[in-house]
Amino acid sequence: MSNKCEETTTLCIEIPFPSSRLAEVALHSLRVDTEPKRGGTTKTLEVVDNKLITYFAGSNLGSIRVSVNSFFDNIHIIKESIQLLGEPVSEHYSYLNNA
Amino acid sequence: MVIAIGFEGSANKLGVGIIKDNEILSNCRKTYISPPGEGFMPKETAIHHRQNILAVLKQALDEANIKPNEIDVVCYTKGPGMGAPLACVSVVARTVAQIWNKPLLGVNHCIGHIEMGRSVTGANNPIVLYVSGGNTQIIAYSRKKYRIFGETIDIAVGNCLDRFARVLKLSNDPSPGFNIEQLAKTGTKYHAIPYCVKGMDVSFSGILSYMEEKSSKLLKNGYTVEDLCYSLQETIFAMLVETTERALAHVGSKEVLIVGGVGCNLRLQEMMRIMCEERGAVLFATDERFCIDNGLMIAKAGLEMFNAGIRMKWEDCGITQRYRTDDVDVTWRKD
Repeated sequence: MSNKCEETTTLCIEIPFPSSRLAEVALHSLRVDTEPKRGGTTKTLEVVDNKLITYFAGSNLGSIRVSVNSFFDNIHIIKESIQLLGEPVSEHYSYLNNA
Repeated sequence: MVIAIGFEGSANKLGVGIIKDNEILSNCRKTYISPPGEGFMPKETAIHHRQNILAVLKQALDEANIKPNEIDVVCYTKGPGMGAPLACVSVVARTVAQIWNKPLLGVNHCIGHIEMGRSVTGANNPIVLYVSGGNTQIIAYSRKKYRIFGETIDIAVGNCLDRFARVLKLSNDPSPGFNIEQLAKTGTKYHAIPYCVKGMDVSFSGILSYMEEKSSKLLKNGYTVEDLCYSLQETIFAMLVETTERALAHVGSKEVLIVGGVGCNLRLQEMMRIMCEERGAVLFATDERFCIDNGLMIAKAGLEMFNAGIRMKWEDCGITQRYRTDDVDVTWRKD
């Protein structure tokens, strides 16, 4: 049986962080690496309050699973990093808009 | 005074290093070692890096004995390398940079090797032989680029050695190449192996196939494991010395610098030194702390970039599995 379905499968994952600032940190750490093109899965990230909200969409179930697995791996290491390093030293990150 | 921290994880070595101008503050490394007969795969290597990176980071900070606010720039390996290990290390580097509110720089792994080698040895403008498990390049600097004069047209020299070690089921601890080097020291009976130099380029895949096919037969016909290691090393290192010599003659340089994991092989250094002496040139090489992939070299190259005023857009702070040495504008060199 093929795992390709005609229609798009979507998945929304909400992950709470201790603060919206830390949710922003996770968003910026994650957003620069794009999903592999061949899989056809798209990943959209946004922060609402202290939650990182991630939408996955695609027609290939296998590819969505791979994306979600690696997403959780990354979230896990980000949370561990935050635990080790503590609170961000500044209210905003100053180098997001480098020329 | 500038302090840079570097994160490296493009292959099976995970490293974090901290440098203050030219002073080494710390250089910590943890290597993922696969079982004998097996290579390291991206998924397992990434798991290893993920499980160890924060401990290595903490160790590097402790040894350097500095506080995060003293650091000026966070550097990480942008590529080339294996996707999954690169990605997991870069995610941590991005998180660290944001939490400490420091600029982030993605560094080309090969440039890291070259700048670390130049810094440690004091070589000014050398012909660089970059030899490792993933790369084999003969490089010379010209007009703001490290230009590739010759390279492998298939697999890297270290890959050839690693996979030959798997044929013999040698241990991967501390590294397959190191174990081949030790065995080769007592090899005496040379078996002629195909020699594969094509102009300025070299090829190792045919040599590997030859060894894979012939090894068991040769072992039954009076050759020892030591003899085979010796024969393979002599042949492939001669190829590297030949192409390096040609680059040296072409550019008119008097310096050769060997970098990359295979570069700590003392037999390769010895052969290269003989060639250099015959030409009135000087050989520069380093030991395993700087030759084998490490975080410090990423910090060093990143520090040069930072001092030259290079700042990266956040959107460009991703990873790329393919990233050629001559893609980088070497704006920090004044010659």
